[in-house]
Amino acid sequence: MITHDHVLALSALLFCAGAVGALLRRNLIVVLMCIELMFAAVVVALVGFDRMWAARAVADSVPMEGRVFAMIGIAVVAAQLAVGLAILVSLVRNRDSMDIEDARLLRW
Amino acid sequence: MGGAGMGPYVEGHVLSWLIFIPGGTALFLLAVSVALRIFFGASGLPGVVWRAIGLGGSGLALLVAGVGVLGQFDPEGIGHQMVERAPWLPGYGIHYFVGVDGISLFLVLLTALVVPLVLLASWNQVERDLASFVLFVLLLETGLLGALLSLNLLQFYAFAELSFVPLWLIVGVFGGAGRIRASTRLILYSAAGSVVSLVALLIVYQLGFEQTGVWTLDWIGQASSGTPGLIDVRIPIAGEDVAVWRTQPWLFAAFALSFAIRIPMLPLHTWMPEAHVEAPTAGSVLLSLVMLEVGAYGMMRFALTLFPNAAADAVPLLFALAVLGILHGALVAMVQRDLKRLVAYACLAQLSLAMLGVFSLSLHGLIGGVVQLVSFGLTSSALFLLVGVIEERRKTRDVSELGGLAKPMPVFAAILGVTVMASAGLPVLSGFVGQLLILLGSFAVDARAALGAGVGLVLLAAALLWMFQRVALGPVEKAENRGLIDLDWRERSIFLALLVPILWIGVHPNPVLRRIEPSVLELMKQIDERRDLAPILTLHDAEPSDLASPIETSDGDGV
Amino acid sequence: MLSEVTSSFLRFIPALPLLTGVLHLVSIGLLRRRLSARAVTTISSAAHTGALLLSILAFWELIALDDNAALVDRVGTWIGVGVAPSVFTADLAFRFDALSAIFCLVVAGVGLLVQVFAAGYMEADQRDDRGFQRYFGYSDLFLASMLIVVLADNLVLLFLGWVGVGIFSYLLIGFWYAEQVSARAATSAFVVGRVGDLALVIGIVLVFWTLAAAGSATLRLGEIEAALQAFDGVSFALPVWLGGHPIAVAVIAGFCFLIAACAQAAQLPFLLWLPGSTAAPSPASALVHGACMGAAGVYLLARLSFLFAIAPEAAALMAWIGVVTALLSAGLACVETDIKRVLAYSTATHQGFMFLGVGAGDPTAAVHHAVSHAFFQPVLFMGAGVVIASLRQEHNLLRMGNVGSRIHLTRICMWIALLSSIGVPPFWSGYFSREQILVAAHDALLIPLHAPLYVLALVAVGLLAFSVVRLMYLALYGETRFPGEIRMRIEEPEPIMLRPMAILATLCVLGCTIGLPQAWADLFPFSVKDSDSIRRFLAGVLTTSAVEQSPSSWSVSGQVVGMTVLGALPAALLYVFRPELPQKLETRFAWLHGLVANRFYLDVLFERGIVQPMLTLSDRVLGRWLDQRLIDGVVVDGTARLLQRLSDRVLKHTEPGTIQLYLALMLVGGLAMVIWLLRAGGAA
Repeated sequence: MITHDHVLALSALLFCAGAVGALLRRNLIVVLMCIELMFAAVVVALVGFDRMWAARAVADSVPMEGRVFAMIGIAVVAAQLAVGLAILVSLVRNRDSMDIEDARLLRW
Repeated sequence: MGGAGMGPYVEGHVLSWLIFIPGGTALFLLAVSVALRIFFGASGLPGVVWRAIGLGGSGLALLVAGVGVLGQFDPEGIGHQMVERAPWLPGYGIHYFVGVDGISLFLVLLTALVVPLVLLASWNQVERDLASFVLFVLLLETGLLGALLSLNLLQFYAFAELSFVPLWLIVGVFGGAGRIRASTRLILYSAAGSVVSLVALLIVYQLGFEQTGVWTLDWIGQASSGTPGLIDVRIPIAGEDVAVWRTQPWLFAAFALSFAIRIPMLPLHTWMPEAHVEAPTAGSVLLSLVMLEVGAYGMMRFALTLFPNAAADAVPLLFALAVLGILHGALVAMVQRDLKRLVAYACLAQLSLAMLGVFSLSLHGLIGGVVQLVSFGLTSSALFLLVGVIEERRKTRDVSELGGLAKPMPVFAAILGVTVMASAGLPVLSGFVGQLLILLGSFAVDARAALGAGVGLVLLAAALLWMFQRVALGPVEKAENRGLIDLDWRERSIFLALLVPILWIGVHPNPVLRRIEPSVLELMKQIDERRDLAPILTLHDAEPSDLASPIETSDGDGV
Repeated sequence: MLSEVTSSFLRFIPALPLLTGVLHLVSIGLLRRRLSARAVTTISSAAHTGALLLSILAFWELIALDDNAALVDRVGTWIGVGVAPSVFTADLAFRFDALSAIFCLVVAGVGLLVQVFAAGYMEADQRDDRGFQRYFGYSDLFLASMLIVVLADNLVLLFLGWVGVGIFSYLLIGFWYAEQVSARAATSAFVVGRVGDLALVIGIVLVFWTLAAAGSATLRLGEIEAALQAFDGVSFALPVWLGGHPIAVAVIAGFCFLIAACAQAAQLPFLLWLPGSTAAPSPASALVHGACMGAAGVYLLARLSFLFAIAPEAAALMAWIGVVTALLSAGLACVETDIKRVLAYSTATHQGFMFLGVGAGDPTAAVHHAVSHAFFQPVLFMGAGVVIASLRQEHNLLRMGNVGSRIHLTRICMWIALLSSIGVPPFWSGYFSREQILVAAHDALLIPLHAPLYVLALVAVGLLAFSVVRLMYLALYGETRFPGEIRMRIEEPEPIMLRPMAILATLCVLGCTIGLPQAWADLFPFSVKDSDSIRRFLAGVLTTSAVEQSPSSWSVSGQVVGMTVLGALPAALLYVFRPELPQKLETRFAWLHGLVANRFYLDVLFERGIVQPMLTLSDRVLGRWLDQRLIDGVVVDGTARLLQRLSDRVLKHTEPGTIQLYLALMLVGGLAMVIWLLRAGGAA
């Protein structure tokens, strides 16, 4: 059966995949996608935690409801995605390139 | 006698009115200007309106200073008069605390007199951005007056910084070719010093709390209780070892540094000649005023009284720097061809002389120093304005382009001659009283320094007289000088307004001396009292109950 | 200590010329209205006459009092600062005792006469038509300053007058300011004066602190004398590199006052401003050199004679300076070709004698000589002025000659003055005063090596005689060395100019009555009592420390007269009987002549050796190197450059701009934080 450990392991795997991709890929859109992957991992972990502590929540009336947190997380992801894509589009428009090496505006 | 019909509210708050009238006028004009811009689409108030109302505002301040402050000043009064105190941040001990005493009285009058004259003198010189110019000058005046009258350390700091920003802008916007560099150096150099003193101020603040349990920056307590900053701090390190950090010399050095930059004293003076050269005439006059007030007054009022032991220890060094300043200023002034640089170096010499008197920590020296500061304010303003007259007419400040100006401009030459003599310290004019008293006071401390100062003064006289000879005497060699027009009635009235006090102080100095003396005596008394308290405080060890009597008094520390 | 009697009118003596002087200057300066020449002269003369009359009145009152008394008029406090025991008070107060009386009368009287002369002279002078009222403004104020000096009750007020004398002589020397020569001369005179002023201030400060240490801080003249024992035993130690032994404060103070007086009286080492000062208009020269500037120096020294009595080193130096200056300037006068400069040098010679007198311990003789000097010297200057004006501003003696017969009244006055100057007994006052000085030098107690002093003084007497006689002959006699048609138009000056000269010349003769030594008086067939009245008059005020006055040492008198003749005769011979001889002598001794004519190259030495190096030092070292390169360049700009380089080389590399690097850092950092939290949370 699928236990909590599995869910957490999946989350970790997804997170690492996303991190590695964000750090090593050259294409801006792919980097952005990898960041989204990291977010997805977080959401999965939250859902898993919700299932994990569900019994305890009812008994101790402690509101450890991961699902709510996950919802909030998805909203944040959506907002971040909008902003990130906007920045991306403007960058690409200005530089005609989707290479991350060309986005050096923060350089001295 | 009261302030000639001013109501009781005004009389009770004369000093606040005085401080804020110029700034208030400026802000009011700004508000009107902005309102016009927004609501009526006009381009703001025209420059001439600014100038007229600005002149009126500063003139009103002069009136308040002369009638309200001087009139109500009690010559025999001890301590500060017309004191106003209003809570600002009471939990932190920061109040709006102003008061005037004999020392600040005459500097206040000087400021109130010179600023309207500056506005008057710039009648033809500032063409564009007249509104900004008037705004800057008025804000500067508020800053200066506030600094002079503040009795709260942080308030003094705030007003001093307030006065420096408009100065920077005046030099930077209205100055000559190299104005950007000059103004940037001006502001950065003095800001560096003031940041250091801000840190010291905060340390004083903290130490004061440790010592007395009260957060305060009102540097005058009642008598000498509640005065911070004199303590040596013992810091226990891991058990038995104790490191003693002598705070006084460091704090004194920090404060003295920032004031010494502003005065300026050798060797921190190099920003000044450049600033004067690049500044417009009005800027030079205001610059010398700011220098002397924030720098010299601050040194006297705060640095010496808060840290008397360190100050006494530092006297040999400070004396040497002062004497060297006089000599250096006089000698370098002699070889300058640019008139403004010449006058700037002469200013260095005169200010160093005043500081010599101040550092002598003697009654005669201190009184002489105050009088010399007032005299310096008058004579250097006159000198810079005279140079401005030449610059306006001939578009040059090079001595070799001038010569024989007494023929086409005799009144100008006469006024220049009198001013030069006043700067050189001739009796009957204001410079003499200060010089004599300073030499008298410093001689008792270190005869060689007094001698060196005297030699420097002779050299200064030579430099100024030689300048006068090259500018005004002799034949008229350059054709352009022949047709120069003499001073018109506006310019004459400006110089008259400066020469009358110069003559008055020289001929009849006693009223002035009489009013300064009690305040100086009080200052010296405070110095003496604080010299004896140099407690050692142990940090990080004190329990709350220890604050009642935790202080071990040490003795023999540098007294 | 003299007893003091209050008076209420002394203040008007200097106040009158002060007021008129200010009036003149204000009216041309501020009001731009010129008064007519008549109005100006009337106003000024009235003021001077008033001052003179009041002086006479004060004198009358004074001699009616006891011997040791003084009139004091206190107007109010001028500067009052301090708490006990060092209260520094300088009152506006005037003092009229025997010494001030003499100087006051002389200054006021001679001043009036010169002023009258000036009224005529300046009007005739066409150089500057705007200058008439300005001249009177300056000279009135000059006179007022001088009166303040001699009437001051305390040293600070004296200093005020002293500097005033300096300022107004500056303005008078530079009167024709449009001429480069005048402007330069005026500036150098003033700067030299400033050095003297500094010395005077140091002296005042020294006196004040010494007295304050003994509990009686005062600067009033009478009180200083009374508190003199405060100086006993107080000494400064010289710095190690000068020997390290102590010098008494009295001696240092004496040096200071001596230096101040030397600067004012153009003694060495301040001789250099004197030649230039002749750029002043002639009446101004008469006033300045004749009655005032040197007199101020002598007055100061005489006034402080009590101090010099306990400072023998200073007195010795004073005597030596006096003698050497006298010798030097007499020598310079012998070859000088500008008529006014010759007279200026002779003034310095006479003042050298006066300094010798005070230094040798006989200030009365010096004062006596100052009085005589004030009688004859202005006449010579005025006469010179007449000659110059007649010859259309010709100053050079070599281009004069044979003028005397056209202006014989002037010539007579000048001869009378000359005889007084070179000192011909028995009727001329100049002789007796000088004889007494030389007697004092002969017998000087204070000075260890006084024999050479005496000898040198004699030589100076001779040279003085030579130079002045030479002047007379070159200017007034001999052949006409200027365009002939000018000669026809030379005429006697107007009475307004002639009368003052005549009055002064008469005083030269009559003046001997105040100082006739008893030995001479005994020569007269009829008994003359009270002959040496000036000495008795001043006895209470001045401190004499020479050997008690041997009535008259005939050997000294003989030597003096002998030297005078020895000096005068060759001059007469050379310039009257063998006029070609001077020229030949000049070429034969060209090197000597060149040396002396160029003032021993002293001024060149000063210029090249002191002034130029100082200016170069100030420019290159202080101005450029120190200020611009070192402080500005290295420290200030250097700091800025250092910070810039720091940012450029080091700090900017912390901002590479690579997004993935930032991302990696964030992840690593986040991870570290999480681990730390877990461990800390676990431990808690």
